[in-house]
Amino acid sequence: MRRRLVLGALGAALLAGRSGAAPADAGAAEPMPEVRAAAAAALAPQRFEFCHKPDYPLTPAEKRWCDLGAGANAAACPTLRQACQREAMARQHDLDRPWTFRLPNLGLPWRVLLWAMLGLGLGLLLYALARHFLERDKQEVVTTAAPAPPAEAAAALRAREVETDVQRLLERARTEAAAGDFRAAIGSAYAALLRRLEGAGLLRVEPDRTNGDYVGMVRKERPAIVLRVTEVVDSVERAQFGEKAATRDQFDGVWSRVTGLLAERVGVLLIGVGLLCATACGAPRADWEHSPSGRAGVIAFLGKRGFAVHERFRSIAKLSKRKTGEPRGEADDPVGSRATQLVLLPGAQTGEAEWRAIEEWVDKGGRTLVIAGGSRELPAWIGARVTEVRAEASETITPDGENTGHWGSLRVRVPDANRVETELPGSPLLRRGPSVYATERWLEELVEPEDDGEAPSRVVVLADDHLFRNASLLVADNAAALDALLRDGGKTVELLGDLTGLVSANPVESVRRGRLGPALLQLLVFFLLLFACKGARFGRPLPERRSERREFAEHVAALGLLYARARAERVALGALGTYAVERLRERFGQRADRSLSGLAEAVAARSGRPVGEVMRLFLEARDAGKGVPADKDARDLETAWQLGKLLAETGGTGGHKRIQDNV
Amino acid sequence: MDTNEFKTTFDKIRGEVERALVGQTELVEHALVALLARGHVLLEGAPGLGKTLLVRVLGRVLACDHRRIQFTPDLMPSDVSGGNVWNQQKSAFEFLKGPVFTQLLLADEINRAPAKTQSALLEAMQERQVTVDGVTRPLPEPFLVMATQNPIESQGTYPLPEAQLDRFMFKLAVLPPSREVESAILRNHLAGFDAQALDRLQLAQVVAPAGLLDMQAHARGLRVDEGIVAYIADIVCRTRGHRSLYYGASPRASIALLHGAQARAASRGRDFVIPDDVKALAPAVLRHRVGLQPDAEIEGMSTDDCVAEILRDVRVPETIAA
Repeated sequence: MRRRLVLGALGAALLAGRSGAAPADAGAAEPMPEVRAAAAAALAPQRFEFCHKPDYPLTPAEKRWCDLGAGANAAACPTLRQACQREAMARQHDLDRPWTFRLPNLGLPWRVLLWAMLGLGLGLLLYALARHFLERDKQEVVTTAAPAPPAEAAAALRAREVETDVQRLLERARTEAAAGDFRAAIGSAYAALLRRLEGAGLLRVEPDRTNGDYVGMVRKERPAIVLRVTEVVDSVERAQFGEKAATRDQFDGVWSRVTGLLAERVGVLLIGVGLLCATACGAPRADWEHSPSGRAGVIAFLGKRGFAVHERFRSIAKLSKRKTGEPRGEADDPVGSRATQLVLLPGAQTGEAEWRAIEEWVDKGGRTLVIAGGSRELPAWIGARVTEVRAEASETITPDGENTGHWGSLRVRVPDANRVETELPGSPLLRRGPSVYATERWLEELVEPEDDGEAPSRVVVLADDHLFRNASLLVADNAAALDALLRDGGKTVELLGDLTGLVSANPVESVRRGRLGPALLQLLVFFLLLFACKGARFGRPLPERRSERREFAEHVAALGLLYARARAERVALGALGTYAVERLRERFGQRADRSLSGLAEAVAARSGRPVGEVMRLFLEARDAGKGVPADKDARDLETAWQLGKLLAETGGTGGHKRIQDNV
Repeated sequence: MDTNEFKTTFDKIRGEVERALVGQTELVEHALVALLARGHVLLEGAPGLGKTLLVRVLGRVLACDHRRIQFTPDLMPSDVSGGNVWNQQKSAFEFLKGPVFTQLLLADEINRAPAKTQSALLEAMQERQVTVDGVTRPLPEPFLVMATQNPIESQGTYPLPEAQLDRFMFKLAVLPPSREVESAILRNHLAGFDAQALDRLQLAQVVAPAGLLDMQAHARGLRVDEGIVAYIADIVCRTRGHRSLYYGASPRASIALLHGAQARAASRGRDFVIPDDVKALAPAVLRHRVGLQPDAEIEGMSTDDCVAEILRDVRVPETIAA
């Protein structure tokens, strides 16, 4: 009974399609006007460029639709015929065979660590952005508060503006030469050369640099052209600083050398860009969804046929809200989708959890599960498998013999010759000669009793997903067949494809899904080129920031130097000696009335120096402090240095250490 | 003398000198530039790096008279300039010329003599004459003083006063040779070179003193663009207001830089001066004419750092950059 219901729907659709439609393909059935109109309306927007641009580049796979008569449907797709006559130029996105990469299953601590690191990184990024914008706001406030420059200053600023565009500099040189100002023309031509070399990263133009500096940089970075650059520089300097006025011959010489060097750089640049493009650039096209291989037209078509179609972004596994390992079949177990029909496209990722969730979705009232091709392993309860046949399909797909009455003379045409093989009892729906293209199976053992009066569940397995491609809407009765296939399964259709489960398992998967591989590869090549040209350090190192504020100890040391310069180092020694002795007494807990010998013993014990040497330093410092004249052999600076060292050895600070280094 | 002839002669002189003095290319070039710019050179470097040899070789190649004075703490001014001595036969004072009466004078370890003796050279270096007992006697032309000082030893030395330092056109650091140069020196000696027997080397006399004077005159006549003049003035003036400098360079520094740049330009075969000439010589001209602030000294800065900073701040004439 259930089977008759579905076949009846398919048959009704087919019979309706038979009436009054223009032939879409020789030998194919005429779809009903509503279906044809819906297909044409779906492909009408300009975003479907393959229907509106005669020079639209097709991929080799898309070109195969042309052989099936897709270009003949001029009413729905006016320009596809011209596009079909061109060579296949675009690159094929291999969506049918997704490559997956999964990171090993990490334990909880590692996952926590990973998330913590990601969170920390995100936090730092937000903090850096916030700080950047706050500081910028402050700068803007300061800028707006500043008085506007007077008109003369503005004019002077404009006069100081420096032209950096190479082409404009060359143009300026030509203009100046035409006006007879050869000196300025030579300068402009030379400026163009420097700017080009700067753009190539060979040098950096700065106001304090001389021509000799630039030649030196070129010699270091690109010795091969230094001779020619030197010739240009010689001529330029002769014109700028020489006694004789610049002549037309001089300008011509500079011009020819400069343009020669520029052309060389442009050539290298073009080759580089060409090489980069060759790695990833194909012919320009609109986005994939609106191409003949995409599905945007199919979704629009089904929408016009009364279906609510959307692509599922959440994971398939979330069709079931049960946790892994929980027993299934709980009465109050909710289902994670409101769709009555699921279409499993080749790009959808299906593992054990996903199949379990699909099974539960069926169990909880899902009505139609369409498995549209794909090289995946199907679970046993489906009872069928898809066999890929890499061959051109020449035969038209027709309804199975038992269904002819319902399907009439419906004709379906698709490029590949895949077939479906059934392992459990099922009913073939469509056949291509002896092989089965589509089959269906009622899931009686899975479906709960029909006590709520709802329609039963079924699984339809298609040999491929071609019926869900935009180009398919233009071929034979494919659009009508698609409409009929889904007609009885309810109005809400969910497509499970590449976009399903957008939350990637790992970064590699994200890159794959974002189709960022070519871009990242180009970036990698770019950085490799930079590395090859510039080494590990791409940018110029910033000058080290000097601390504006000096330490107190540095001021003291500077004062000491002034004393020494004025031949008054003995005064400095006296001051330092008094300070040092007091500090040492504090450190060693000795009262001021104690003798120096006790302090010297304590200091010697800690610093490891001989007691006699320490005592000598103390005595010399004391004598200097008391104003005793220096002996003939006195070495006051040396004594001061040793005292400073003594302070550091017995617990001095960083500031003291810096004094000693510089005394 | 034209520019090409000047360059050819200059290259020949340098080539001959470098036959004896291996691996001191920059020193030789700067010394020659100073000579052609009528300047004097202060060499700072450790003993044994070829300072005396340079003067002797220059004397031979240029066919100039040359002498050496070893400065010591007890050296008297009259030991440098000479003095009047009583001639009993003539019953009159006679002037006995000191070693300064030469064309190439090597003042070895000049900072070992006290300031009084050092000052004996002031007039000689600037005016190219010597005044003793009210009588002024001109020095022979060309006249070049090459003084040396040892930067390592500080005990028993007398730093040169600023006025004395200012009279040296260049202060050059004589650096120890690299390993390769050291090897080349050894090979030179193995091949028979003897610094005490330069005759064996058969150095060619490239130019006579008169020819050298012609070269000096030619260098002085080179064109200097107004932008170059402004560039030199900018550089020197900035030394006077630099935050890390205690005192800046004098106008004598500007003049030295100007004439040095002219001589360098001529040595490169040009008849005009370019900013590179000025920039290349600025450190040698300025490093001994400025004094560091104590705090800058504490921070480990040198006068070379300050000069480099100034050169970074000054806009080069005819530059295309803002």
